[in-house]
This record gives sequence, structure tokens and C-alpha cells, in this order.
Amino acid sequence: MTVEPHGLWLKPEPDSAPALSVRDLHVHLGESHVLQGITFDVPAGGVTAVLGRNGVGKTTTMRALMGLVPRSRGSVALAGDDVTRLATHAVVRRGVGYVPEDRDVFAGLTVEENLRLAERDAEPQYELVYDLFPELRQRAAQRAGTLSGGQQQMVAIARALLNRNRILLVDEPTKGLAPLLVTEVAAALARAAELTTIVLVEQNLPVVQRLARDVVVVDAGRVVHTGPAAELLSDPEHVRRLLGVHGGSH
Amino acid sequence: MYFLVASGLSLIYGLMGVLNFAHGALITVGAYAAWWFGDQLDGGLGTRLLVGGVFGLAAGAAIAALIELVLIRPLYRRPVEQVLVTVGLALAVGALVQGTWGQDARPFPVPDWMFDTTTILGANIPNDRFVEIGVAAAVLLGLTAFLRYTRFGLVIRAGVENRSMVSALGVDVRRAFTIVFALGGALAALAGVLSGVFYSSVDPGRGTSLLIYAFIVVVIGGFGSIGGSAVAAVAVALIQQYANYYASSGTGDLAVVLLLASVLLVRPGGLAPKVAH
Repeated sequence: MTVEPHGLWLKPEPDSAPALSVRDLHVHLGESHVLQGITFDVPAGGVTAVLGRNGVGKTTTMRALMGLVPRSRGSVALAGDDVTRLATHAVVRRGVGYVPEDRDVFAGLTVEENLRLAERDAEPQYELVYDLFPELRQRAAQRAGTLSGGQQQMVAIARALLNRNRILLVDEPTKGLAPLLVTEVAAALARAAELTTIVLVEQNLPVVQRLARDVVVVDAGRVVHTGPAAELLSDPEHVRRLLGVHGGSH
Repeated sequence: MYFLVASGLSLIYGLMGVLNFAHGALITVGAYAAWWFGDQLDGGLGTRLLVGGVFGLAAGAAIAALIELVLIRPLYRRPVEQVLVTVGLALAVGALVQGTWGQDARPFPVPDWMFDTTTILGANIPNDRFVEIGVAAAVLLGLTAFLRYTRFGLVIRAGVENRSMVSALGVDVRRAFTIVFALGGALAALAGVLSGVFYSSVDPGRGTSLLIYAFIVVVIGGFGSIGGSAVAAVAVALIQQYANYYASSGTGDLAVVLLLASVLLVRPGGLAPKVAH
């Protein structure tokens, strides 16, 4: 897999601070202490996958990084800049693209309006987006609520790819998709990973194996393992112990 | 008039989740600001109404923006406190207006030609009704165009659906909140000015009486829907007037409540739920 940053996008400098640095992140949702001190670094370039069983706090971690849920403790830094106290829109303007778990396309808006709303750069990357997902060009005038799940996922990813982001947070992009669409989405993410750093929450281990350079495994609101993806996935027993699934040798 | 008040309420609740009970106070502010400013001017009744009306609108927008910035913004995650603040503000503004200008109605500058009638299909219709209908239609068209063709309109429509996702796309939703509040304030003030024309006077209780029906219109139309508000406003007003005319006076209010109950039973989300268009 190519992990060299592309000249068109914000090029991560070698030997600089990690693209994303999370320290002792705690989140309480109601009575429940969901994140109990999440700590990990994401190196610049390539894909870092966040893995874990259902309900261990992966999506909450992504939402906490975006400032979408209140954080009770901890810090988040983007390339060394502390963004812990910034509002969500200000975090995004520092160069963060977000593809949420449930896609969250605006159902009443057309595909074109969904994309237009996401425009931040003076020159949005429509060519790249339409190159990856030609279907979106044909369906530009269609209301996003009438699209299939796969097409909605394309809109959600396209919104994040429209701007030259430093980092993309992508939450379960292949969830509920047909196998053919899983391949298409994975190919789009592989292309995006050539251009920017990606943090990917993903349950589909073949997709992880194809895309990820590093993994962060979360369990019960804490990070229980970090390291190269190939190392973890080549050890089915370790995968089973950490994730409760069989995997690794696909 | 129901539509003008309801459209602002509907957008504010649809986008921000704020039930703005102070909206009635903005109707009163608009009406009194227009009357007061018109009273300071020399010139014909028409000029005084027009210039006073514009001043009333500006006052409504400015005070609404101030309310959002100073009182609502610190309370976004606290709906109960929001209700308390807006109810308190409604009471305070009503008392302030009453304390300053008294309980009695004040004559509103209405040009003579508005009192004349025009005969259409045998019915004598006062000319001011055409002005009111024309203004409401212009506002409906203007708002629809604003929501459909401007960047802010896009942000508002998306924000009504899912405001946290709008901020996750890098848009400062709080700015849209202030603008929507100011827009709602201007529309409420416009309703105040038109109610001054309709009744030829202003009084301190004007806002409160209009607000109750506006809430009913918003619920029937669906929160966040301008088109829904327009349809519901016409339905509520027609049913109210027909019931008052053909049955006995007072049955109109009962008919409106029955309409509200039937719509809620059939479509709990209103006619056009949760989509700004």
C-alpha cells in the first residue's frame, strides 16, 4: 500500500509531531463512564485503524475527537497544536474531515447541496470526488434521502474528501454495505490514504488488512493494544483474544 | 399575520430547538417601535407608516439578535432555563411597554385609502387586507428563495435536520442561530406592524394574543417548515373565521383547537415535519 503523501495535499513533514495525539481522554455519557483514559498517537500518512468489539467506545472516541460529545478530561492535539478546547467547527477548520458512523447525509438536501455545504477550500476537489464516485455526478440533483445506503456513504466520504484535510476520521464506512460496495469504498479510502492521514474505525478485518498500517485496539473505554496492523493480523489467536473474532489470515 | 409570526418561531425551533416564548414580545416591540417612530415624524400617514414600519422591523431584528447573544446562547443545552428566560422576557417586555405608554391602545398611522373597500365578486374587502396578504405572500416567496438559493439558507435547512453534522462540516452554526433569531424577530415585528394596520391601533397585549395561535400554526405546519407554516396559517385563520361567522362568536377558537387535535392524531409531526423548505 502506498503511504507516501501526495504533493497536492497538506504534506506531513517527516520527523514532525504525530498527525494526531490523544492523551488520557475521558468521556461520561449520562451515568456511564464511556472513555476511561484513551491515549494513542497517529503517525502522519497512511491509515491507522481503531478496532474493538461493539460498544467499547470507538465511535465515542471519534465523536470526542471532533468535540461532538463533552470531554471530561484529557487532551487532543493535531500535529502538535492543542485543539482540546476548540468548538467542533473550529477543529474541522484546522483540517479535519469527518465521516460519521451513520453517514448523516442531509436527507432533504440534494447530493450537490450536501457537497456544497461541505466546501471550505477556495478550490474544492470536485474532480477527485467525482473521479472516485462517478455516480454522484449523475445523481447531483437527487435528494440524498432517496439514495441507497451505499450511495449515501459515497456522499458522506465525498464531503470529507472535498477539502484538503490534514486528517480524516472515518467511522465504520463499510457497515451494512453489500460486498461490491465494500470493495468500492475501500478502494476510495486507499486512494484517499495516498493523499492524507486517515483514522479508520472498522469491524471488517479484510478491509483493515488491506488499508491499515497501524492499529489501535480499544476495550472497555481504554486502549489495550497499539502496533503495526500486519503484526496483529498475522496472529489469529491474538486477534481472537483482543477482538473476539477470528481473523488475520484472509 | 399568523404565518409571519409562525414562520420565525418555526425556523427558530427547527434549527435551534428553542421554544421562544419571547416571540410575542417582539411582535409588541415591532408594533410600538413603528408607532413611536412614526409619531416622531412629520409627513403623511403613508410615509409615517412606511418609515415607522421599517424602523419597527429593524428594532425587532436587533432586539432578537441581542436576546440570542446575551440570554439564549449561554443556555443552549438547558431547555428548561430557556423556557423560563423567554417567558420572563415576554412578561418583562409587556410590563415595560405598559409602564411606559400605558394600558390603553394607541392610534396607529394608517393611510385613508386602506380604510376604503374594493369590491371583488360582490364582496367589499377593505384595502388593508390586500396589503397584509401581499406582504405575507412576498415574505413567503422571499423566505423560500433565501432558504433555497443562499449559503445561509443551505446552512439553515441542513441545521434543521442535523445541526451537529453541520458543525462537523466546519460551519459555525452559532452564527446561523443569531441570523435566524434576527430574521424571526424581524418577521414578528412585521406581524406587529401589520396588526397595527389591521386594528388601526397598538396595545401592550397584542403579542401574547397572536403568539398562542402562532404556536398552534407551527405545530400543525411542522416545526422547521416554512411551507407547512403557510398552509397551516391559512387553514387556522379560515377555520377560525368561518366558525365565528357561521356558528357563534367564540366557536372559532374551539374549532382551531379541534383542528390541532385532529392533525396531531393523524400526523404527530405536523404537516411537513423537520425539513426546512
